[in-house]
Amino acid sequence: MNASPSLRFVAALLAAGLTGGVVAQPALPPAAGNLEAYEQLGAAAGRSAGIADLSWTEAEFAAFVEGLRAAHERRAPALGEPGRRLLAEMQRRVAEVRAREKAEQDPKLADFLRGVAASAGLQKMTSGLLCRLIMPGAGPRPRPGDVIVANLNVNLPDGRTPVAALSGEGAELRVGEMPPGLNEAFQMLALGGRGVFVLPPHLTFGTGQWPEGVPPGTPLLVQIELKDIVPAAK
Amino acid sequence: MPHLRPLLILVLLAPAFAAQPESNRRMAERLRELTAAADPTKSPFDFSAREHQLRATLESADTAERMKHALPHANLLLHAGETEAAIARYEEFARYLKDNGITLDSGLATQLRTMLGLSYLRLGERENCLLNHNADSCLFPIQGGGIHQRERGSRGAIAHLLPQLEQFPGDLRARWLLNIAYMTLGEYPDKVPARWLIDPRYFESGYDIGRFPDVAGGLGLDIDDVAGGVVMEDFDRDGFLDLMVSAQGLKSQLRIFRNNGDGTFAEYTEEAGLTGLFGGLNLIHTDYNNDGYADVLVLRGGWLGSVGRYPVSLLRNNGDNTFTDVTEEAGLLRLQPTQTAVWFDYDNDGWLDLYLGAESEGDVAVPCALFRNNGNGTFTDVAKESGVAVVGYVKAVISADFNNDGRPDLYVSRRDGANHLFRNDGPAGAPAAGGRTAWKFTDVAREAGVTEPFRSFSAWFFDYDNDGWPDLFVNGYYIQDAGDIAADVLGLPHAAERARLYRNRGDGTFADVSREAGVYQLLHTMGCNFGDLDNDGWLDFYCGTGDPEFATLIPSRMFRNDGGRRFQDVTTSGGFGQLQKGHGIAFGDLDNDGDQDIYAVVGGAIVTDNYHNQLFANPGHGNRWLKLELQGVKSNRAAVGARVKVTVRTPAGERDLHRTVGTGGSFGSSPFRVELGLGDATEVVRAEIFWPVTGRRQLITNLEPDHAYRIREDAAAAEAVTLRTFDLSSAGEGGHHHHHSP
Repeated sequence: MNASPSLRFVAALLAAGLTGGVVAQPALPPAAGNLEAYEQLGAAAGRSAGIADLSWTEAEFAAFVEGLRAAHERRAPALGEPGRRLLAEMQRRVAEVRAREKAEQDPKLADFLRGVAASAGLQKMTSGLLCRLIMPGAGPRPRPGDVIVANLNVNLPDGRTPVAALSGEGAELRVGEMPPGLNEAFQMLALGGRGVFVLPPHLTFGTGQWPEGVPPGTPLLVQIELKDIVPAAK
Repeated sequence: MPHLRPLLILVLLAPAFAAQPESNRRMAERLRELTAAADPTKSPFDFSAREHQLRATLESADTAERMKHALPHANLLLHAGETEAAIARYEEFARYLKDNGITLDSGLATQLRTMLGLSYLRLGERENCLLNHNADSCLFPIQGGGIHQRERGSRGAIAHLLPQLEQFPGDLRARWLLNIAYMTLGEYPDKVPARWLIDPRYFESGYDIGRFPDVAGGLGLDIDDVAGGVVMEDFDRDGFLDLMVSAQGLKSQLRIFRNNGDGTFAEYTEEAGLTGLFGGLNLIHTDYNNDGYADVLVLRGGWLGSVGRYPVSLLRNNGDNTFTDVTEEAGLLRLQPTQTAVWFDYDNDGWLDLYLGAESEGDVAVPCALFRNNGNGTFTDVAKESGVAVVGYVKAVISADFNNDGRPDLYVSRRDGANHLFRNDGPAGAPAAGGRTAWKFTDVAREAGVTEPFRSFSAWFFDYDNDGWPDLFVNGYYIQDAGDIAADVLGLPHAAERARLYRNRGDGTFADVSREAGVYQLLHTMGCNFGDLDNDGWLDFYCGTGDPEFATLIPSRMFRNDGGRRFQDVTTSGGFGQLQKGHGIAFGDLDNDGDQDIYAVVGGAIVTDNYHNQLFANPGHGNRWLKLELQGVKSNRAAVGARVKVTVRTPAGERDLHRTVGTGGSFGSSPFRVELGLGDATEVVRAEIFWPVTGRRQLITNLEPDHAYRIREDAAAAEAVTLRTFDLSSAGEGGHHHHHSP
């Protein structure tokens, strides 16, 4: 399991402090007083936490910096429920991006994904999910924990071999309990929406158990339609 | 003596009609005939005829039948502009359901509540933003004078949106509209239930650009009409930029306003001979006959599909404050839906050619045309032999010499698939008909890495990082509903098309830098243009946003270029967040005080979605500037395509600024003159001008900051030009007039 971003942050700070050689080599000019050094330290911590992969908005980044400032001024609020949830989400997203990067090292898979995206006009999400809406929905969107009623049509990369184990009409599924790519795909749709998605292996079964008849590591072509949403109890 | 009245009217009108050239009258008549022949029930933007049709069939229907059609009928009423009747119809349906114990499925229940909420919201908009219009109206985040005085609309909206959110907490469209409703009441963020609040910090600007007041009302320029285009140019060559404004309505008059140079503008549409020239979703200007006077191309039929077979109009500026419609004699008369065109001298013969985009879909299949300028007032379509006869849903065509080989290239943005980057490979093969050699273009979009977004709209080339290589911005244009905007703001998953910024690597390829530059966002942009808000020498841009849906209430967005590294959203700090639909945009220094003002055409596609245009007066930022009016001699007279490199001395050392002469973005037409911000420059070291026709690099050294110059292609030095100035921001203080188009 990956270290949580907060732990990475601390680790990065420690690593920078221990490997900088400042303490060990007193002959060098001190870094304290050199603002560039602080900027480098901040950058190292941010890179280590995978901050560039989180797609934060300016407002979100500003709020994070405000939190850092609060800690610096010893007035930081405790990590509450929303903060913990964000941490989990960040952890998931960074893990997805790392998995995507790893998967893209397979040239055959990367070629297939690039080709299918270009020929079918698919957008690539940060996670590596490829998508194209073919019928816009409207209004309600599923949230984690909601049950959805959906039609799924899953095919192997040739586009002609159905994966019966994963396909179905009027399927009732809970968002958050499906493979990561499907969790993400359904949350993109509004009620009545229909879309085509390509799920790279790291967003389906990864190194886990694959359904029968599906060779492990195979990207899946998925067409889904969001028929209804039963929101989770408050 | 009443029978004399018609005669009197004719006598009064006679001078106006006498001034109008025969070809203008013919075009006006052609437009009238096309409009009269059109089936009003087929228009995607006019709902009245369909509403009347349905109402007639329902007159004798029983209650069950009436209720079966209640939702579609109420929707038609809303879009036909009968907001209160629509609300009554929705409410009648809701009562019927309740009385009969009928429960709707999730989709229909959502539709009923949302449309009711939206209808009330729209009622509020109409009663406040339009009837009680002021400079703050509909500016997001709504505050000050934008807060509604009549509350019944927004209160009604909240009453219907809250239950929708109770049932479907993930309804981001309802959440977005709810936050706006509270804003209009001055109760955002405090009274928005915490579960549904969108934190106001999401809308804070990354930089305080200073408020740009909307002065259109006081100047009589706040035209109240539907979607349209704008040209900002010095039509009469008196040193002040004038305005020509269109609207796509089939009865919307094209209008022209003279900048009097004293803080007033005077309309001279009739005197200019433009009476009866209707429509035009977009306008792009040119000087096709090299006479030094700006001509205008009016683009019609955009988005109308098979009912959009309208002609373009090429309006020749006669240099005496009149225009002649020369479409027919120029050989440009063909009927097609279009809203995009670009003027460029692709064959470097000194005459501006025209690439005209077309919207092919369904039973409309019209190839885009490359009209070669024959140099005698006529054009010949050479698209096919040049390899650029694209058949697709083309939403933007723009030009730049992306590989700096001296030949202007072409970019084609499509709503229906991969975009094209046509590299201009120059003359190739044997001479075609007429003895002229065809020029060849090769689509290199894939190799160059600029095919996306796959559902795109407006676009422009600009050198945002001042490295001498034109970069490319392309807007995505596909959303499910306004909930995608909320999803984008809140960092939730969505599949809407985001914008792309492509940085030119200088080796024939581009790098997608959208994310690191902070613009990988859902901008949903239609009208667009770029300029320099604060004269810091880095090009900024403004996006007019939205779509025909009434519920797509999203702010137009302004981005400031932070030193060529990234873009900061300055929508809120500058007061640019118009919630109504944003169309044609032009940047230019209307009051000659050195900084650029911005004119924005506002109003939707649906005929009842009219709104007031805006003119944002630049408050000034204390930076230096330079204006260069280039005059081609061997090159086209307007110098379109000429490249300018200005080197200035600053306290931090020398700095280069790169610009290309043109009208800017694909939707809206900015002046030809180069208006450069110089930042904190203390001195202009030199200007180098690259003229593509001769390949000559002209060196000019007699320039000073904060001055205007004219530079002829064959001159050794620049000629200083004295420009009179006035104060646009105080000119607009006279309050708001209301100008609804006839």
